[in-house]
Amino acid sequence: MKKLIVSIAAVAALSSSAFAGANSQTGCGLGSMVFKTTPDSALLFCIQALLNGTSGNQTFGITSGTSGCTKAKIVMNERAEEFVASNMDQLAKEIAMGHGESIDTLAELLSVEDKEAFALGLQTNYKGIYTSENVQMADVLDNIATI
Amino acid sequence: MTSLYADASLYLDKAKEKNLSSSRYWQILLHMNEGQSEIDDEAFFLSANGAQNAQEELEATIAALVNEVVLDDNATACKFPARKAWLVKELDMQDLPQVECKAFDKLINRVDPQSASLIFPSAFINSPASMFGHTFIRIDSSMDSKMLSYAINYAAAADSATENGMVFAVKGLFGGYYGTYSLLPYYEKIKEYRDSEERDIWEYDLDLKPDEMQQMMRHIWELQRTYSWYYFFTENCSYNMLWLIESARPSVHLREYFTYQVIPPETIHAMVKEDIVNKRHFRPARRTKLLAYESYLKDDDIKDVFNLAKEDKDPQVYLQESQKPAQTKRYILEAASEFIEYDFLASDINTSVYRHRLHSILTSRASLGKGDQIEITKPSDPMEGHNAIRLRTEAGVRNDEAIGFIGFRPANHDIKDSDIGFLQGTQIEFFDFLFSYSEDELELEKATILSLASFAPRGKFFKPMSWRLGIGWDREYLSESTKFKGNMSAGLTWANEWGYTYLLVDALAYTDKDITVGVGAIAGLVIQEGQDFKTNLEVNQRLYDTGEDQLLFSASQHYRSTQNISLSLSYDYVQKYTGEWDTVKFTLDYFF
Repeated sequence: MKKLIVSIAAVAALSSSAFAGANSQTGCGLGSMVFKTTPDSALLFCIQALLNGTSGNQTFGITSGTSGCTKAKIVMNERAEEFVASNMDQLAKEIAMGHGESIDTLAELLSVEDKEAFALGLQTNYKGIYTSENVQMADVLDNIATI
Repeated sequence: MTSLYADASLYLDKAKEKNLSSSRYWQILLHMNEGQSEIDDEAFFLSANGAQNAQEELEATIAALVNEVVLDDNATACKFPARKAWLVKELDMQDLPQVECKAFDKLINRVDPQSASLIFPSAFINSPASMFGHTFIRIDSSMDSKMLSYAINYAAAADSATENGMVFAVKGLFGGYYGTYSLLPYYEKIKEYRDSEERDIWEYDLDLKPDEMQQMMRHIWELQRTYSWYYFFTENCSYNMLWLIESARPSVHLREYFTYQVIPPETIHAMVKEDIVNKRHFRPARRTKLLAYESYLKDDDIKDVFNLAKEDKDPQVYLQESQKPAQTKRYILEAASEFIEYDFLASDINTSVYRHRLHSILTSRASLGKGDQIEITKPSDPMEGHNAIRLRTEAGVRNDEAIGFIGFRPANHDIKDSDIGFLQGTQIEFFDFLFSYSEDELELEKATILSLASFAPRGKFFKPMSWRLGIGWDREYLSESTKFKGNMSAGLTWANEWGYTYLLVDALAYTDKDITVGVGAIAGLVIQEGQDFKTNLEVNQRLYDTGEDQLLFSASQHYRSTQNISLSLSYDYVQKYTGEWDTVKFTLDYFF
């Protein structure tokens, strides 16, 4: 019933009723860069708040930012750091499945030629890359570099 | 100094001679629309009357370029690189001061613009308003990965979380917010639409060449710090993307397709007509992925998904205990991992629970090897959907009398229209007018101000409610006259590959001199016969507070002849004080 009331209220107002997520951002690990807007907020004519938290108040951000993240020690590639920090969850899922666009993207950023072998290698070594549930971006990148 | 001024006057004369200020490209760079720029930010103009006077702005720009005061990022050439590049070419300006535009060069280096795509995140379930959608441009680089492309987005700078809903809608309609551009890595937009809002993303590759993309990027740079008032219906996100495309290739005329309203999917239709759409790609939302797993997995497998995603069942233990085939286990774990993220986004679980469950499930999934990819059925392409405006003509018989109808609806879609290009079971209509003509009398049959419906099917993973509401005049009441009605219904929908069926409870009120309140029980069935045929059936039993009851029934057979022409045959039965109305009619709909 709650869902119904929410959706009717949202529609009646013909506007967005996004609730701020209860979870706050914590570091550069799993779940920290996931967007938490309510999926059932009713948007009308592409009204949207400019996104918070993606690039601070700079709306012309060519970097998604890694501020607050520990730097990787082995992989000195800022763009790869940004990408992994922002896609920790998606990358984890794709590595576990052994294929995906995020893996291919990372391969390109790290100039890895054989993407298929790369994906397979990552999957085989999942435990050595995502070593714990609190693993951070820098660990993931450095672990990938050492497998 | 005198020599510099002399240079400027030389160029000024030449510009006047060539009548540059009225050239299409200069008008595009200034966002001039009938003598007035749509950009409301004074900082965008170098002359006091620049927003109204393209000639003055041209002169001021030439003078500023020739007489640069600073030679770094704050130089005119660095702030207005598109103006500069074009004027240098048109006026053969060889001796301009050397400036160093570090910030701009950095952007160009990083973005590396080679081509572009128009991105359309389609509607999300239970939100008919989102059918109007959103569009933005993705600037593709020479890299293979599209995730690393950049998205240029135009949006109202309003915070929907803190602003009251009604204020938000009203301010949006009448221009109470600033619209601004933003540039972000595309992967951020993917997360926003695909993962967070559960919207499928359509990507339309545009036929733009690297040099045209350079022009677009220069112009984007000029716009970055400017603001304009944002209008939901006209100067909205999609409309402003049209300026950008025209700045890349001025020979395409996109804005001319729109006068009163810019509905985002309509801009795709305009681009198709201008022949600049190449390939298209589909990126399924998490919800779409989960529905693909649902159609593959059996009830017992779904139970496993829930145990893993919601009940902390240890996946390692599960893998040892379960006798299911490896591929089934792979899909179960994959679906569970998507479900955990879904719960996390809905704030049903906190970060530490999320991390723990996701990590343990993915560790187990990785141990099973690659396996097969789940097959995802692509929904129909929004590009193939009908246009927004509908012109309707009908001819038929009502209680043995010949009757004709003519109707007009500026937007957008109802559940009897073809679903190709639209989210099935979703309806949004604005200002739907229908007039009847019989016995030399023209009467208003229907005038809908707004109608919305969402028939969201219940499945194993998702159990949404369905609902419908409408405000406007109709002739469904027991009397023969046209009356004002407001109604709201709620209920459930079930679907399979044939179509869907729904049950709703309706609350309605008719107003005339007094208000008549009623309740209705509604049952409906929509059957899709292949791509182009559709049958709609609905029965509605109403009970009014006056003690009277009323039965309504409608049946229609729809045929989509072309993308924008539909034919249908329908029968409507309405109980009246004076007996009953039986209407049989043939309908021709034309969309444009």
